Amino acid sequence: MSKRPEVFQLQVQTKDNIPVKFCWRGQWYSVSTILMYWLEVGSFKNATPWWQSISAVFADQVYNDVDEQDVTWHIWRIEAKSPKGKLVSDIAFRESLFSANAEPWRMIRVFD
Amino acid sequence: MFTHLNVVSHYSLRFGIAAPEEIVDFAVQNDMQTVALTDRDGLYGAVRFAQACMDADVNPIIGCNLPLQNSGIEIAAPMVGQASLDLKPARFTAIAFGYGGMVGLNRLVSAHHEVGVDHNVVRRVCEISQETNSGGLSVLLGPNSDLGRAIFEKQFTSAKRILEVWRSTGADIYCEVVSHRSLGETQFAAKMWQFANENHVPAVITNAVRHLRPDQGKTADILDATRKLVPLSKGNVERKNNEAIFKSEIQMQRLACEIAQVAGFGIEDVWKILHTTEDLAQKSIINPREDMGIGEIFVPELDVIKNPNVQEFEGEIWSRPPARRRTKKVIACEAAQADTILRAMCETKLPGNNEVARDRLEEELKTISTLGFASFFLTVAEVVNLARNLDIRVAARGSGAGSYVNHLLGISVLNPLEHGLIMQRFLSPLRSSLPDIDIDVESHRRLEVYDAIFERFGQDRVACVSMMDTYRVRNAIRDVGSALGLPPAEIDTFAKSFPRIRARNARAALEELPELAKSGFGTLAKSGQLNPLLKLIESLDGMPRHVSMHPCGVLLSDSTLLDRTPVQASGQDFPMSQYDKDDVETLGFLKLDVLGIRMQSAMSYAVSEIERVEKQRVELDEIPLDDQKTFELIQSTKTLGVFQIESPGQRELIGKFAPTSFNDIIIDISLFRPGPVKSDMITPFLNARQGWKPAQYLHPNLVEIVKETSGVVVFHEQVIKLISALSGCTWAEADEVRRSFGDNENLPKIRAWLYPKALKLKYDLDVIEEVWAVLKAFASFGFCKAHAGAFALPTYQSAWLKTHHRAAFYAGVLTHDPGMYPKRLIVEDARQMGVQILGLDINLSKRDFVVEESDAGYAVRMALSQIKNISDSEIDSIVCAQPFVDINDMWQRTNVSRPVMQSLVLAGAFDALHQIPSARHQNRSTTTRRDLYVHINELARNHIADRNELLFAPVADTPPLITGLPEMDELERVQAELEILGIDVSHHVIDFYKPLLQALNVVSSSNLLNTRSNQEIFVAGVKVAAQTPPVRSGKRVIFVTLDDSTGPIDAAFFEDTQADYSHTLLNSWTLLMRGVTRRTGPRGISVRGTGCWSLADVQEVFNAGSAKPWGLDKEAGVQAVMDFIENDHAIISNVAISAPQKLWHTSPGIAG
Repeated sequence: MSKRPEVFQLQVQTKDNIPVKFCWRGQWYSVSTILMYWLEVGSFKNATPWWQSISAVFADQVYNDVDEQDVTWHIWRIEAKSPKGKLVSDIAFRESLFSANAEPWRMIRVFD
Repeated sequence: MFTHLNVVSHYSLRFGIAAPEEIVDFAVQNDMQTVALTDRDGLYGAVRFAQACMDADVNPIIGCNLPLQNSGIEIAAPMVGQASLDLKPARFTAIAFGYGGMVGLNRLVSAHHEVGVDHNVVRRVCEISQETNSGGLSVLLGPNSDLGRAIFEKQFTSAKRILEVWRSTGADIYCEVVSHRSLGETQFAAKMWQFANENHVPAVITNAVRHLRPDQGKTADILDATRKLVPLSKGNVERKNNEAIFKSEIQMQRLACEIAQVAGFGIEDVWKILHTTEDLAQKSIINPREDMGIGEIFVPELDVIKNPNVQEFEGEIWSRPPARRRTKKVIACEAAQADTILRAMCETKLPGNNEVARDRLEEELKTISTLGFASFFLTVAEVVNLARNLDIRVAARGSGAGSYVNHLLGISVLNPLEHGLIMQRFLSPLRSSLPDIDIDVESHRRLEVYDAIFERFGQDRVACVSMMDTYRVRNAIRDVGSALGLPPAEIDTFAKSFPRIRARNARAALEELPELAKSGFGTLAKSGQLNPLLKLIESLDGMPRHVSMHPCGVLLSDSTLLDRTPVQASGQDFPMSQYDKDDVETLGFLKLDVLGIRMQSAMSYAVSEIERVEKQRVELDEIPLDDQKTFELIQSTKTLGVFQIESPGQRELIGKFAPTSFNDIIIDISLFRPGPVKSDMITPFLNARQGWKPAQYLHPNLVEIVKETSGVVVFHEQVIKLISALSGCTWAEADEVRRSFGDNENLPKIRAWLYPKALKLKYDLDVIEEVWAVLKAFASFGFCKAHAGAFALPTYQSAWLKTHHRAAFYAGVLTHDPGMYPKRLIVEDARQMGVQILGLDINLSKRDFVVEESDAGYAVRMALSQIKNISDSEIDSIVCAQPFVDINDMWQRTNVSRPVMQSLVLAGAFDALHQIPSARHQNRSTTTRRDLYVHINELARNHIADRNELLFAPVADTPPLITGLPEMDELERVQAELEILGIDVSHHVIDFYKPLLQALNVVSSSNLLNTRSNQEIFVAGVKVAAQTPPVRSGKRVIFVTLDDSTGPIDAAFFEDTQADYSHTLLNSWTLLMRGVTRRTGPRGISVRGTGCWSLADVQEVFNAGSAKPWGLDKEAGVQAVMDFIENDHAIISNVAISAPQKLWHTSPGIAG
């Protein structure tokens, strides 16, 4: 059984770009096993489709030519431990192409 | 090494993006030696793709992605809580290998398009695999297949059952692993791969390439919305990201590793899937020559040509089993027999004791025999005979008119020996491709010829040719606008503001065309606000939009036709090849252009009217070609309605040229082409022809070649003869050299070849230099004399009809509308030529325009078909029930609807029947059109009451009440005529402006010749044409023709005036123009426009200016108009007679 919560920002410590520790609901987890790693490309639910900004151009003359669908997510399915227990989840790193200041890590799936 | 096995091009209509050639380019850039094209639903791009592969030395793989409408397999309904099944049909990809595979693929695609048949695709694949034992099909079952969907739904039992069914087809089954890295897609791909391994199905990896580059993703979204006819929304776009691109080998290997890792597989599994993919690619490489037939020639079998009762396959043509391929030995044997038959047919028509004719025949037969084309000529002759037997006028056009064999077989009427036409331009032993013969037939009977061809040769040897309608600016704007959800009215206005140009030129047009640059759209574009929109519009440029039947192409082949081309039903239900005209020629089919020519219909109708009224049969193809009166008419430039010489430019040219012989008409037609106009061949010709400058003959040996055109090189045939005379080569070789003049890069090579040969033949270097200069200038611009000759014949014939049977000619032209001008101008021309145009009469008008005898000779009666919105059955019911006693009688005995009845009344169809006087003789005690109009409402009420069996229903035979309503005045009548008939029958529109035009001293068309050259004048009239043809300077000139009831006035607006006046010029119907006259010859005069205003606006100003308390003051009115013109105001008139429909001709360069 898996669930996909809203995409939560996540504080993560990495080593060689691989997550080793992360803070989830105020609790620090250390990654014990990396089960899988893959890429997902695209946007999450809340991204504004490109065609909506085309209509906006007539109103405010500003056009954001960014295609949100170009965003690449590196996803790790990990097993992590904390003093409270174990957790299997998917955590994702967003290749920060267009918003360098945004926190790149997200918790995207938790397996209960 | 990696090969993409699943790639779609833009021939996957409104889905794919890249052209097949671009796909091949990408393969080359990525060092891929092999690449596949697996378009959706058809093989429309297969030939282009194969050719591009051949050119780039890349191996082609051809497949097709097809829907499984009814695979015969049911997938269990999803459990509660699971995702619902996609309602779109599942799809699979079939890839051909070998000739048998291509046959199977063609037939599978044809079967898919079989209309109204819910076929079992899997069973069809099974049948094809059994039928095509020399090769076969590979089937890729990807994520969108029935197998993929079952796996996605975790219905593994169903998935296994589906797999078994597919395996039983005999085709090679592969599991296609695809991940575009969207949410969960890699996991799904991993499951597919795991299923394949568990069930021992070979798995291949593809990227299901939809676009080549990431930046094309938005265009894909637009196409999704357009295809589904919905605005863009997240639910309607199929693209989740930009991963469906043409990835490199490394990227694909990484992807395979990624999926393998998720699937829990190791590196050896990755190598295995990559190897399996490559093995399938190598197995599926198509040899375009052997497997598709590129470079071969296929014509109907001799047995079929000889035997008029061909055995036709019974049943669905798409389901016919593959035909037997004829061996080379059989083909050679048939060619020899065909030679004998062709010779015998020609010799029976050969005039006796004519050595020149015999020699020419021998030469042509020898060439035909060498090329093995005798069957081709016999087939074309048979098609021409089919049309003639149906009593349909037929004429050959194109270079084929230069062949004596064509003339003897009856394909071409012109005798090439009499007109100096040569065969080599048409057929040469140095060219192995089938020659091109176009056949002109009566346009309204073209499909009868199609039916006859299908019946004669059998449906498995004939198909129509398709054509792709591609995105140009207007439909790109409409589709992008609709996808973005812009208001339809705004989209329409934006689209119509553009001329018919390519989508990629939209931005340039907004900047450069004055009428656009000055518009609101131009301002928006300048500010950059339209940039995102324009980027999307431009991205659609040239993409196929939908497939339709080519207007004239028919292809004939032997019985293997359906094995080599997929067919689908056209709109008219003819089997139609998915390949276009160029593709079918590449594939070696006999392509015949059966062109529907409305002038042929018009002439045929005129001949039938002459026979009906004058009781004499005219054989148009036998009239003498030297009729003096006909040439006098042509010289007078009163050639409206005459084939090819009615446009303003042509009328100006014949005014200067004054043709006196049939050959002159050929020259005239050849000169009036974009090439000769651009390279200014007309001026030196006319100078020499009129004796203003002596003709220049470069060498005594060359005099005979260019004598007929006064020393100017006009025809391709002259170029061929010049090259031959200078080099000593044959005409066939000379034609090859002529063709290479088209490319400037070839010029040094030709020069290096020609000079030594000419010097060897003792020509002086000066002469050679001069001839070379002429060849360099004109060789690529001239026109084929045979082609011009074929055009000149209907030109002369139509001019002859206009000269000798004027009323019948106008009846034909008005009925079939062959020319560029609106019918109202033809009606005006008829009046000026002394032919009375009789109004609509419910008892005398027929479906078409008919000739009637009147006091003043023959007249033309207005046709019922001119009535707006009248249906065929309504016309039939009127014509069958004529004559009528009164309006009640007609109402009771016909099925005419109330709106059409009202139109008939308003257009004056009942005036004679009910003695309605003319508008000038109004009398309140007689019936008026308004009374009849009111009466129709009574009749309609009665009809309803009668139908409902009401007790007190009004009686239908009550005569119309005289209500006392005033009769329609002249203006109202003309407005009604324009609205209903599109023709101002009772009065010319310009008549209502006469007082204004007199006050302004406007020069009429009939007085134009009395003006001096370079004089500033005003002219006015109704716009009948606006064009932007190519001119020598390359600049845009708007040519406008006005009609002022005394004749046409031609004016040209150059770029300096377009900024101020093009909007009015292109958007107004009645115009006042200021211009400067230019004499162009004894009978020619044109006007260079310097200003232009809407006549309705001017009338408004005049009325306001002349209205004084003491009465009308014309001088004050004129002064007001002059002030208005000086200040260049624009007002919106409310008193104008507006055109209820577009009543003028426009060329593609004109907006609107």
